[in-house]
Amino acid sequence: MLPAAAKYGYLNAKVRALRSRKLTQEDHHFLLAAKDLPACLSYLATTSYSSCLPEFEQEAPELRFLERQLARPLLTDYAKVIRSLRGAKQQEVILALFRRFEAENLKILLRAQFAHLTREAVSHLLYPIAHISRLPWETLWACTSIQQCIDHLPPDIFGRSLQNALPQFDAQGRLFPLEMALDFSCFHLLWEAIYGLGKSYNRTVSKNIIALYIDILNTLWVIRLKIEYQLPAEEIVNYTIPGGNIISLTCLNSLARVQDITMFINLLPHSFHQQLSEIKDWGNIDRSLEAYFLHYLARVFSGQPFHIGIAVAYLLEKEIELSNLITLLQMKALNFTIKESLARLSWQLQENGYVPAS
Amino acid sequence: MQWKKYWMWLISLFYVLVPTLSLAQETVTAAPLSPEAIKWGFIAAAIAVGASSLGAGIAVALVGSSAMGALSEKPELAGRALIFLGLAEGIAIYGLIVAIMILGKI
Repeated sequence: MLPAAAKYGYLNAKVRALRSRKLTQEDHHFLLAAKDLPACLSYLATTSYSSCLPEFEQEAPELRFLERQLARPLLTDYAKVIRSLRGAKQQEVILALFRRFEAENLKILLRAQFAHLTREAVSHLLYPIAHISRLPWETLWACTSIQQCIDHLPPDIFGRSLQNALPQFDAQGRLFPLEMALDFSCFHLLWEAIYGLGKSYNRTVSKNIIALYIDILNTLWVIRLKIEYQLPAEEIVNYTIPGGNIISLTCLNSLARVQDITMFINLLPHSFHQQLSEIKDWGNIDRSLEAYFLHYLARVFSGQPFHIGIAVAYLLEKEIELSNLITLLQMKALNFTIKESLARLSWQLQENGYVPAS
Repeated sequence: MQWKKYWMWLISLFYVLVPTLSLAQETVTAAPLSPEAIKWGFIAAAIAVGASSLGAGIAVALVGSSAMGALSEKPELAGRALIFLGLAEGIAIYGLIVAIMILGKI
């Protein structure tokens, strides 16, 4: 306990201090109650997101230019957490988690190359990661083709996996294989970093969090690929991420074949099944599973405090908060009512965030 | 209610007088200590101060680094952080008190 306290005391205190800056129930109430997008943004300017909001007098800035900028506090927190960690192995876990944002920017870069768009045309879609990222972005943006871009990537996991996926891209003529290769390599890197922690409590906690995250992602991907893209079951299973904890490959295979939502939920493991037992619509599954994940992450903070799982849990919590905030702002921009908005937000906001005026 | 007041006075008097009298008795009846006992007394006092200072050092290191972590994000917590640092520092004072008590007996 004492060595762990010495190693993670600073990190634990810092992460808890950062966590106290998350949006509160009161904030959620006022954001939901705001009459339109400018009112919502004005309130947001009084929260921890103020630093990433531009000043505006009457007309609010376009939301599509704001969405990625709202990720700035989250990415700054990534930088702070990485600096707070002493061991290189522990830093690798957070860096691996961060590299998902690098992968997202790489996808935008590849799409821009594919569609012959300039950097300026897609700049609003890029995460502001220049202060942490180690990739040579200037060189990559100067490239004139996808092949050249991949050649200029450092020979790390992104470079290698994109090189491997390049023949598939050439054969299919679409970016999907390259994007899947990036997604897979992110999680591969994350598992490598977690297993690098040795057989410690650190590894157990981080592994459980990431495994649950992967289980939820796989479940949602199966639904999306089946309902939206109507892909065959074999192909769906190919696109799932290995490393889940409670949903096996056999279970994913069965889930990909089922068409009825009740049967789908019945096939899920007990803990997911309990959470989703009252769901009747495919569209509600993601919010319900998100709520389940948030509960799990909150439990990490009530247990033993000195481990890296605290940082992992906080960063994922903040990410979910950000995605909910963007959804909320989008709904404000589309003039949705509070009732309609609540139906599209995760459980935490629905149950605790908004207190209707009596 | 009056009798309750008297009882309180009596109990307080008991707790004040009994240790004082016993200490006074000890000083009267205490036999001179052997050089061996004095030697061990000094060693015990040194260990009490040394070990408690070491413990306080570790505690201040842990509390201090955690306080720095929290203060870097929430400077308004400085007052509360100082209280916890003081508690950690107090461990050294316990050792010092024990050492003074030991030295008082030698």
